[in-house]
Amino acid sequence: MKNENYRKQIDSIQYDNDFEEKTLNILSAERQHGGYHMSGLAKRIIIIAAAAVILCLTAAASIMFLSASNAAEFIGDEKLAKAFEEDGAVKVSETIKTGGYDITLLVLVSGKGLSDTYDTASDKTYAVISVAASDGTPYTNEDYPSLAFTPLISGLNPWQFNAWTLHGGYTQFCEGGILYYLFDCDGISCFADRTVYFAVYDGFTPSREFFNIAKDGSISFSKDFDKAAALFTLPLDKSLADKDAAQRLIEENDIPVV
Amino acid sequence: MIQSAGEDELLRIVNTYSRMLLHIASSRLRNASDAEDAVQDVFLTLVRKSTVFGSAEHEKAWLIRCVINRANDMRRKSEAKNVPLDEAFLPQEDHESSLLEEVRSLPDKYACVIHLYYYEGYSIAEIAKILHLPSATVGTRLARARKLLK
Repeated sequence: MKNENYRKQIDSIQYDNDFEEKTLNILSAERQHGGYHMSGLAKRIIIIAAAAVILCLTAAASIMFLSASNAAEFIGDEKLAKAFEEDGAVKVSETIKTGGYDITLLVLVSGKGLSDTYDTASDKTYAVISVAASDGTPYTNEDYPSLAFTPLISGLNPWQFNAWTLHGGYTQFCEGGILYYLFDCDGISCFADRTVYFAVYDGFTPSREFFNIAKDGSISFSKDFDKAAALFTLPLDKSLADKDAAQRLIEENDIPVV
Repeated sequence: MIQSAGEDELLRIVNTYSRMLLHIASSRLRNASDAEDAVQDVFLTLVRKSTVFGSAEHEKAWLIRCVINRANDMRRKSEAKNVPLDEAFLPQEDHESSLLEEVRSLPDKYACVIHLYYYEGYSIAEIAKILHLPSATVGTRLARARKLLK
């Protein structure tokens, strides 16, 4: 391949000279009118008021938790808030205490067209995770821990098939001293006939140092991994498994099956 | 740690990465305006998702992956549609023996590897890190892509 020719052809493409400036204007407008940073104050007041009512009704409660649906409303995604309440949502509500954190996987839901915000044309999985300090110290918007979030599939090496291969990302916010993460990635329900995990841990991209995969394909944290590490097993409906879709995802990423 | 983008951060990110991302998008998309749309979509996602990066390296890799995915999505959608007449008569690049056109016609997974290797000058190991693929896979894709381009 004559890479100089390729370079010349790419360099000859004429883009808008004001692209950067116009883009910054669009992004500034988005921050002011759309992004969760600027999500409506009224909406926040309603949610906080609703949570306050719950708080009043729960005499023993000392920390205010948002539901998964409230968390989606908080970032302005009404459609997703509704999806978290519907029958297809998998309500996990399991808490793992690890490394000074109480990590709770609240709910996950999969499908197309479930969100106002994210790519709705393709099958996506959304999950809400809350993180509280085990000693009750409230978090603020300034002190997010360096946690990573990833689904993992039994039989597939965690360092090869994870949130990064599944185009994962998350939106985070702090409310009432609790951190909330709205995670999204390519749909994982096609793997429902396998054991599907959701890992939350202190670190970055999954590596061999972080995870073990046994001969039977089951996944666990390495014994030497001594930071915060929570591994949830997802109670997915096996009837949602789609072997062809799963195989396509595996092949697209050239992943060897253990 | 780089936190979600504030105004200064947005300025830095847009000024630092726009041209690189436009070139990557153009390795999949024929019109410069489509490439611009793809890159703006990625920056909008960055603002909406409040993505947090562990380092500048992670930030760059995330942006590259996102723009590749966005450009591939746009390409698939445009291929499924008929070309409107006004677009059909737009002046196109010189397609005669256009290597760029050949790269654009490669399957998604090969084209991005070719662009990152030959235009951006990344090594196989660096591309593997950016795309979260094993180095051997990147090497194989590069070899197959070269073969397809001959």
